[in-house]
Amino acid sequence: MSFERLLVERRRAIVEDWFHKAAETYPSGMWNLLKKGSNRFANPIGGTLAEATEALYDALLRGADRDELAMLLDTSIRLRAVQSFAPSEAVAFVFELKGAVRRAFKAEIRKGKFSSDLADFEHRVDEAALVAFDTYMGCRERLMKVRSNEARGLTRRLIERAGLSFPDSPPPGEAAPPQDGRTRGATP
Amino acid sequence: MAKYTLPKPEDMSAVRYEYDGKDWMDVPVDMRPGNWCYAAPLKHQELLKLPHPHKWHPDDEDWGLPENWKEIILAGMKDRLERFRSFGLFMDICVRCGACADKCHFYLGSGDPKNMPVLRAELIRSVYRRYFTKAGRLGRLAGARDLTVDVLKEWFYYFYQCTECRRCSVFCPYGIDTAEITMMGRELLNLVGINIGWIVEPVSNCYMTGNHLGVRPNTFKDNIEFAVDDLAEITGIKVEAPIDKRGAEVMIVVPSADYFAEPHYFTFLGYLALFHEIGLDYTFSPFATEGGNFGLFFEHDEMKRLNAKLYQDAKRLKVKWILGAECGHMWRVLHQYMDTMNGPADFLEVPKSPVTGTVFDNARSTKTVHICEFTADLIRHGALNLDVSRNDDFRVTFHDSCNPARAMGLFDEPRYVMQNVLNHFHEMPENTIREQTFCCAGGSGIGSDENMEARLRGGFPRANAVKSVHDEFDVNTLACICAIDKAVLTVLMEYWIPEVRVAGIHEFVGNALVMKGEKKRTLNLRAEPLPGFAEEGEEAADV
Repeated sequence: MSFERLLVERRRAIVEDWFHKAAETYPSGMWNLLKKGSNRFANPIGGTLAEATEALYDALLRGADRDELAMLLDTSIRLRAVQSFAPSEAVAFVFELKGAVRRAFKAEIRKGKFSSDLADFEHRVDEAALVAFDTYMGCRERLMKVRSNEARGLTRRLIERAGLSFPDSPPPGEAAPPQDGRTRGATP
Repeated sequence: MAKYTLPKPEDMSAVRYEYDGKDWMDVPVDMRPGNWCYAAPLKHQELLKLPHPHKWHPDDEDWGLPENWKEIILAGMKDRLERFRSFGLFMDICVRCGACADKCHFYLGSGDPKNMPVLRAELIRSVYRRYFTKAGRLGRLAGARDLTVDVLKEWFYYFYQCTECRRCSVFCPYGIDTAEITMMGRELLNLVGINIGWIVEPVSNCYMTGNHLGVRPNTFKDNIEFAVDDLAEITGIKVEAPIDKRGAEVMIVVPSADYFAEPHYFTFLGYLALFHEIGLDYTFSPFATEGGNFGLFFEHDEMKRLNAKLYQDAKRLKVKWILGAECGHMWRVLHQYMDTMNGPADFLEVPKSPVTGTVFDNARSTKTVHICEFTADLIRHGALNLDVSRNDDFRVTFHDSCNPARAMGLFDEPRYVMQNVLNHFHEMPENTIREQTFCCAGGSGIGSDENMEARLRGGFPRANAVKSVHDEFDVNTLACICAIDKAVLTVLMEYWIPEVRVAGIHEFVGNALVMKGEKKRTLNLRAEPLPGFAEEGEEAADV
């Protein structure tokens, strides 16, 4: 059976393993809750990670382009960008997919099978991680813009009445399109 | 007989009170920037005569505490345990079942165990056990620990990462109001001069001039006149907006953001249009220019003082009752604390709508009616002529603001109003609305910009629910009835779902309201073209 076919067949175990590794980047006290995978509104981090890992896995299998990868990574990276993670920690969970796949193919790897297929797949994972980093940077830039827009939005009306204006600040809700992974991350 | 083992309390919840295998008591607080707010400016501490006024910074090693800080805190704790029975009960009765643990938006957005309401309360409960219970002598075995500077810093870090929204209390089988534990924690910190600028400065401004920003009566008057002019440009009607009118029937109290910030201002225009249309005999007060009461967030005497101010001016103006606007915490103070602080307001009359004759018995003690109750009653009696289609560009969902929702049970009136002024309304998932609403993560005085990261992750559960209706129903507007929400959710949406903007309910009312003698309406209260008038709107703008 081909490597691709086996990836599809072993999807459930691989995605679950990957999702658990992603969940374990949070404090251990939260693991049970995150892994419970209940209602995404009662368990928003767990729900987001579960959806992201599942959708990303499928996207990588069908060779999705960078735009689609960016879209699928968006919410989880947007979240991790404001969760006190170091930049490397924020995107590291993407690489964990490599380990999950290797664990699922332990027997075949021991026999020396699929080495070039595995290298190809891991290359795709690396690409997704780079997209994740673009998205992360976009989110951090956006965070700074949101901070300055908030300060300006509060006083905009008063300043305009004084006959002054902020030439470069759109009012809240009319902000320029986000310069981040949502629209740009995948297109350097 | 089958062997049956009772589950241990810690097995009853999906969460554990630990950090990577370490007990929470062994994990010192890490004061990361982005998670705390700046200290209060000295001049405002002094103006309010707060205890131990001093300059300090959360990033400093030395917080400049008084030498006898420990005695002060323990004496303050003893005093409060004796005066507030609820505080003593909340310290004793928690069994750490964990029902509250995964209900806090800060925990759900951060994963930090000390953001769990149960563990946040343990930060102070452990000190209570050590110094106020016999078992406390056993130390850690009894869940007790010494009060140290690091513990104090931990209190500051986590009690200012709680918005006192009370979602956790909804799920507590014992009815522990964890928000009140946070309030006590902040009061104790204040005793040694530890408080934050975003709370103390507004309280000080409010005390001196009547509102958070320190807007003086003449500027307040200017702002109202600007609003009257803006409304006239849109509707062709120059409304009266009386200030300091003695003997008016009703005094209006609005949050100060309504008359200077966006999107609050559009709601304010809606109030002005509504009051004109129904011919309400009302007045603004030049001194009670703030509904919000930030005293609630750190010191109950300050809360009492600011609440009293509103009623003092209602007395001076000889009004019959008060109409309160789309404000959040104002309503918690009124409904839960006012009666034992300054109430009942016997010198006012039980509110009665001059239009419909409805008597608001629910406001018999405070004599203050929520504007959503008032407007819902007007609509129920067919007192308003409404053109709902004017709001067709708004595809709306509703965020139940924590305090009107959980502190006064105002669930149906805002929805009733919206259902009568909007064609496109979609509820968010059941476990994120009404009494289970998720907080905006900037309430209780922590809507500052230096802690933006904490706000954005704490607001994720709310944003996540908004995103679901945005994706499913193309919702583009998040409605709410709290001034802090309007500011904080605007930022939250800008980060999480930039396609969604924030609005107040009376903005929709003002849009839909067909006013007698109005000019042909082509613009909404944001001065944007109404549906079907895009070209005319553009032409109007060109002229």
